[in-house]
Amino acid sequence: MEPLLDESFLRQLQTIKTLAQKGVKGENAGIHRSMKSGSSMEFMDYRKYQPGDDIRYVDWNVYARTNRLFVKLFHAEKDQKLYIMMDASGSMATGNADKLTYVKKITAALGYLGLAGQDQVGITTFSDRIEQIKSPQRGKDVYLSLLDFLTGLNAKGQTDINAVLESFCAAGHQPGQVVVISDFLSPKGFKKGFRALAGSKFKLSVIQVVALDEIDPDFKGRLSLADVETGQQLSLQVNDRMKALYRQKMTAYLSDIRMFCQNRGIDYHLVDTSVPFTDFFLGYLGARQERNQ
Amino acid sequence: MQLNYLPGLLTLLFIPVLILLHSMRRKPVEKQVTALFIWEKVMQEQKHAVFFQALLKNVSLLLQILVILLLALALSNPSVFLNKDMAKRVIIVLDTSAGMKALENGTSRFETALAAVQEKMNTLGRQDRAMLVNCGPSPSVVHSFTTDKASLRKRLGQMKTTDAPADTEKAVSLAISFLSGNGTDQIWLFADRSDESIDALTDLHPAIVPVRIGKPLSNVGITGFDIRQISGRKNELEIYIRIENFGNQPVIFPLKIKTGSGQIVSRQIGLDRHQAKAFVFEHKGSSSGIITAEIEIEDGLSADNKVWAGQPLMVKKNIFLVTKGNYFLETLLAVFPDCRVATSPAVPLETWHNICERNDIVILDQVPLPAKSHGNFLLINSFAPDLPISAKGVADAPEIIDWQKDSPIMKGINPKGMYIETATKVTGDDTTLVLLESDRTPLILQHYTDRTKLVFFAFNPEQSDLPLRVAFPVLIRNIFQWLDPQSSAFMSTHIRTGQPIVVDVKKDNTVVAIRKPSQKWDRIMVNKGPFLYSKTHEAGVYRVRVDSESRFVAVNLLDEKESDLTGPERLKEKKQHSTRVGPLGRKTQTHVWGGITMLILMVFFAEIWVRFKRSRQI
Repeated sequence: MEPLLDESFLRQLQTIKTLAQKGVKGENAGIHRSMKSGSSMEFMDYRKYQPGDDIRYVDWNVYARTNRLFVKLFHAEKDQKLYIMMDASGSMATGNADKLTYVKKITAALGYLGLAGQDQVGITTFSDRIEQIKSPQRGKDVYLSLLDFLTGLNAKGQTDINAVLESFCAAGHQPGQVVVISDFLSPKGFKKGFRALAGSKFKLSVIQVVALDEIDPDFKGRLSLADVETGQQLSLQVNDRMKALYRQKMTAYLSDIRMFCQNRGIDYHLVDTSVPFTDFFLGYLGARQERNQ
Repeated sequence: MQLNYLPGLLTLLFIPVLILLHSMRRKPVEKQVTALFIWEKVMQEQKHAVFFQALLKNVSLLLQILVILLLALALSNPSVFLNKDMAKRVIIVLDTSAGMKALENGTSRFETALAAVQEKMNTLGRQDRAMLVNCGPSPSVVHSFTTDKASLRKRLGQMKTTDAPADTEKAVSLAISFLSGNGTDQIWLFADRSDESIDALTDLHPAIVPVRIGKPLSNVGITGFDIRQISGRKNELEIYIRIENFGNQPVIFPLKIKTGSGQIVSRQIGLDRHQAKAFVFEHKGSSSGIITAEIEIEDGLSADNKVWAGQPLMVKKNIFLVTKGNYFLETLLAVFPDCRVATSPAVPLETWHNICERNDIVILDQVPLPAKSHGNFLLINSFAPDLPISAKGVADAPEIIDWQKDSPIMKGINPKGMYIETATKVTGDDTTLVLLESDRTPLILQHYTDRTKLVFFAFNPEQSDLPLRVAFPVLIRNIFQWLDPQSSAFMSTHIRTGQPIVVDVKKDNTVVAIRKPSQKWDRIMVNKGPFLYSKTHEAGVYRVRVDSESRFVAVNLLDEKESDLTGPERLKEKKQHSTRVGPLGRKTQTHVWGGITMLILMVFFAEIWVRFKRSRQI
């Protein structure tokens, strides 16, 4: 089986230290520094004891000297949960370079980096519903099971982004970062799901993966176009004029997704599968770092 | 359009083959896509283009089918008939018979017909030509073909009705003779009645367009009137009259019959609906002059309510009979009141030619006819060297096989089954006509030249059962009528309207003067008699004067068809068409396969263009 990430790429990933960012809500300790005071070992300040404070953090030395109760305040080093939602619907199996394979690579890379940064990484696959869930786990040793999980995935079913994201929100997941990876080519749209996710406790990031021939079809003539997911057919004579019109419509559709995300502070990236994966991913990380800074 | 080579249509069989081939055409390539909804948006914006695509997909097949259709048409060698002269020609036939005098709400049918003709003439174009035919007792052309409608209207206004029945069949035949045969000519027949001849003619010739004039009217008419002297009773007359009610209601009316000296009959007559009654009245006393019969009733037609008749004039035929004894013949001749018979057992050779000249008819019963005899002869087994009929032997018990039913001599005769014991076998030359033929020999023959008329019996009636049959007196009377028609005709004192008055003129270059019922005189110089006066379209009493002698002739309608005013209901309606195709069409046949071939090439190139456009689309 072809490895999802080769050795050289992994080494490149390790040199990039941009994953840990400030200001992420979470409960478990991790490499992401939290602004919330907590129980990490890095001392921050004192304050007077108040009823309800954890009595374990009372500085008894200060109490001995001053006969007053003070509690120690520390930087609480919280862990981050990274939810990777990857589209495994039927449409992902198309493209000159298999979109699903491309998405698997992105997922594997994100998962690797998350695990390397002591985050809990979970994977959810979906079509028109949530298909499989790999619960968030921490530790580099989880990576192999993550790869096994990805390897066994197949593309099937129709796509319903809205239903899936709404369902995810309703499932009561702990706060964290959600990266949705899909081609988003669904007549049912995406906006409702995005709104639901962005409006809750999740930080949303979107990666749209499309094949080049989905943007610029390489066919023409008398064709019977069949939807890869629904099987619905459409007979027409595809000519240059219609192809140009298709490109125009597709560009407008992609722009609509990008503008929607920009307007709502959602991290959005578009990639076509003809771009080498490493090129895309390094660019993605760079852009993300810039954004976080 | 006419197809001259029908097997060419077999080319049409290629159409199902073509459709089959198209159905087997390669299906469109199936392509899986992930953004079909984007393609649907594209199609919505390109509706017109998509429609054109669908058309383009099928137009090729349609054009190929069209090519095959045109090819089949071209191979069947089609031709069309084109009229060279598109201007219409119309022959107006106007009924002027007595029935057209019938009044409806104060307007005669003739006036209605004139208005209808005028209205129809308004539909004619400037280049259309029309002619006018008078459909009266003697049909004639009133105006020849012309585009001058004013002239036609003028002549139309001069036309008048008569008291005579119309010879519609003759009028229509006359009109048909003027048809050009190009299929555009029409005959407009304005008539008030229907008879089988009109129906037959309209069925026969599509150019005839009958225009019905008038509504059904009630009418009572005198349809029969005659006077004869009662046999053996001097100065006693029998007056026969027949009256018919053509209406749907019973009627009662007075009948009056008068002579110059006074009234003979006056009585009330009652007739049920569609009932006819005949009456015979006897009249004693002096009866010179004209007898008039009249029914006093207000009905549709007055022309048939009054009739006239002259007293019968007995002009006797002079008959010279040469016989050694013929009981049946002599008895019959004695019974004929109009025959003055002189009998001789042998031919008086010395005065023979004078006898032939003085007598109207000479009968030779088994006596040879002298040579070079001229006159009217009835020969019974009588031969002569210069006769066109010669004896060839004897035939025993010949059987009747045929006779001339249309001959005036055989009129009313049925000789079938007649027994003849012995007949002379005879042959006649080309100038003879066999009237009665047996299986072995002709039995009765006729011969006619400028100076001689003869009827020849090849058997002795005494040796047959002919004298015992009713046919015998009828046959002899027919023979006399044919041999000497003048004398009998001259006896007529009353005729029907339209029939000619026969005037016997004994001297050459005699002036005959005839006074009509309208009191107008016609004077005619007659070179040689007899003279037939045919202007008898007016009912009434005509006075005929030849030299110092004068007599009266009564002319009456006496025509059931004219009196029956319900006729128009039966007149066959026909739709009028602006153009009709006559049986003798004089159209130009033009073959059009060349034009169709050009069309095929055009469609073929169009199909290629469509294919080219489609390939460009791909």
